[in-house]
Amino acid sequence: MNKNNQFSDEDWSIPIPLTTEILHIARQFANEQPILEKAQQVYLNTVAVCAVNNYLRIIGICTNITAGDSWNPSIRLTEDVADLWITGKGSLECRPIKRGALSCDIPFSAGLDRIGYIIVEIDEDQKEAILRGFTPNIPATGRLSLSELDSLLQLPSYLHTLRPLLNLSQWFKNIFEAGWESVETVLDSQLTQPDLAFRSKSKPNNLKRCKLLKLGSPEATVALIVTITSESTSNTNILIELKPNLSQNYLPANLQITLLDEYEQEIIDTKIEESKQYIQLDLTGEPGERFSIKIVLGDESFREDFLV
Amino acid sequence: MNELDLKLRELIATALLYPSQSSERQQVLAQVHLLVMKSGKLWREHTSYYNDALQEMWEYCCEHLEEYNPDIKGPIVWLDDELKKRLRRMRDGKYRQQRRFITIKQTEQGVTNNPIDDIASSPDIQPAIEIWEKTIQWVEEDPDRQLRSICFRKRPEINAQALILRRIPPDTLAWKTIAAEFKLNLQETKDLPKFYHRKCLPLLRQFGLSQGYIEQPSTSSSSAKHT
Repeated sequence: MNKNNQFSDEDWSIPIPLTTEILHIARQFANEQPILEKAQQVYLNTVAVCAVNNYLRIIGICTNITAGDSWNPSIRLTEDVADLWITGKGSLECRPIKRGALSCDIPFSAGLDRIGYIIVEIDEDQKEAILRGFTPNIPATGRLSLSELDSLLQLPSYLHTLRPLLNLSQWFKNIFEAGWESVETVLDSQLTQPDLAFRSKSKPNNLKRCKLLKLGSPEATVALIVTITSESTSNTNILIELKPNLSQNYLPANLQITLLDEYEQEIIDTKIEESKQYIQLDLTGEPGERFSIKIVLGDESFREDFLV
Repeated sequence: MNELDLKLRELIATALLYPSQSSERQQVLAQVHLLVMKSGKLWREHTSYYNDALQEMWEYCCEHLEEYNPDIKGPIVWLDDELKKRLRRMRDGKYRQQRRFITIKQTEQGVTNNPIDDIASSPDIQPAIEIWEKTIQWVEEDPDRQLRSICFRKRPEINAQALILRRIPPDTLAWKTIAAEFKLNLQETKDLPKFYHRKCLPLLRQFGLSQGYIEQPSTSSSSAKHT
């Protein structure tokens, strides 16, 4: 080892030794595949995803590995995917390369809806993965080379700049992002009132969560309630409700709520002119679809992005 | 005190200035981790569970940075102590007992075989391959006729069932081949994979979900986390 280079900040390749568990899971996923070539692909994809996951656990970035397509047995059978869900942010693609390779192709399905790409060099002999770097975008050619990558030192700050993205499908697995509480927790006393100002359309088999939004003064705090109902295997009904704070009977005047589709086009834009007890928006989404809710009151604003 | 020790002490002190979970602290932790890993100064031994102990040690130490007391020991000594503590525990057999199900093959020299080489001879290949058979069966049967009702550009023959069957291994067809089979024009050829991703994969995803999952991998240190 060259002593002068010992503390060099130049090379930001991160060695991640492969744990017994990573090797075990990768092998298990590979075993599900009917042909060797596919098994090898799944093996490397799984190692890459787990290695990045272990690294992010070390530096304290929350992930949900089972939320990704790479963890879905039927999807990984047909697709070449190595995605890792970063809690509240989105999917990071962890592309494996073999030792010494200088670039990799990004398959079509792995090139969609990702917040970034990490290239993971896998040294099976040494039981080691080397995280080589990341990039927020892939070149139009679909081929990513190591020389185009940014240093992983910048990954935490990059993730920090991303707007929160809420994965609603996780709710069906009882996984909820921070800040989204049960309605009882947030609006308990209100629920016990006999005359509920606001009647929910929601049916029994649904999931309902609530977030309090502080839009300036305490009186201007509103509750954003999202209810999801799985209609068929392909559609999810989403009910978005805005209710006033416990102490208030009406929503603040001039409150504006905007619903945007994934292309930032306004689907609904409403402004409260006078006293209103609640707002209710009903929409249907397909898995993988995105939308955003923007709430504005004077200088205060709130925005949250959702993934169905 | 050597250069590495000084640098690490400095970084740990810096990390502690920022709240845990902040991107600033994460960035400094990343520097600590890399510096130590590249220095080659950590305790090393050739045991099958060394990497497991190492991962656990890193997760624990980075989460409990407050426990490091620079007046008592140097950073490398602290990390080494935590590492050895875990190695000892794993050596004691508790660890292996908890994880009896793990069947990574060890040779005499402690080298793991390439797992891919073992697939053909693996005893658990039969139950494992079930998901492939089940998926094909579900797509072919299409019990609710849902897959057949999702069609590309009003072409009933180019439906989710037909497309998924052409994408399932062993005979995965390239999109170009599928497009040629259905005599699609240039624009349609471009749009077909997008249609598949948007309209067909969600159904397959749902089916995969219904087949059950392997739980999230967890190192033993996660039990120390109260989040």
